[in-house]
Amino acid sequence: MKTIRLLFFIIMLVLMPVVFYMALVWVPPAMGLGEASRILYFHVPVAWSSVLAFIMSGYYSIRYLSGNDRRHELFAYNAAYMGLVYSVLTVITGSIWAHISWNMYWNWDPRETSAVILLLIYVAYFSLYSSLQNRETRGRISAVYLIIAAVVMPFFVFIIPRIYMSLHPDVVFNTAKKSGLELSMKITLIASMAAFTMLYFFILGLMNRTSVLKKIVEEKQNDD
Amino acid sequence: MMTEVLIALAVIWAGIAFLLFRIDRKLTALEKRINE
Repeated sequence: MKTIRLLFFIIMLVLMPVVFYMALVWVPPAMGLGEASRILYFHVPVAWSSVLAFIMSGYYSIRYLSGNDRRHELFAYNAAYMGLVYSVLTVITGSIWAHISWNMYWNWDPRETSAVILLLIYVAYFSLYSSLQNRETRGRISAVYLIIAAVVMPFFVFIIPRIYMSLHPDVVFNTAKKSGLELSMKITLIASMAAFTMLYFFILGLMNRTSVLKKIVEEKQNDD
Repeated sequence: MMTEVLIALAVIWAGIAFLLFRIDRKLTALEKRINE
């Protein structure tokens, strides 16, 4: 396990500067958008990480409900916490890009709106979690909430922005199956998504290990 | 144009630094509890 963790860390450490070089220097700027198009290589992976957080928190919640292991409740909380931070980053970087492309920070574009709704779903989860006092009830109710959130998420991310007219470029999961990106752009975007996914799991791993340590210390202190 | 890209990057890394800071704070609190 230690070796896998070290290997994972080394790959991430090498990949991150490579992605920065590719995104800021190697890849040509997109036609029409100029140098500002480079935001794509950071905004999309951050948005992807917030989606990943939904999946992970749903996964840990299912594990918690099926096994009743309290560690999974803490892991789901950590995944959702990261999702909240990444959703905020997605909205901020998206609005910076919107300002460059459409000369407005906010347009109520379907994808922008769905990003805010996802953010609100996380905010509601933390309100719910902190409002429940009983540990057992809190664990179960918040786990059910996160599973529902994970099920609803694809509709907001992948379906609603396609039903309504959108200003947003449909780059990665587009219906026409054409991204309109040059090969170098595709390679950079994929590399960046890989690097940010690794970073997400690295930070989530740190948070989870800290939570487990905290739980052990608390249990030992209660026994004494 | 490049300025906006750098601002977006700074925002992202500030968010990531915040997450790492939170872990650091948790670990510091744990260290304190163990030493007590």
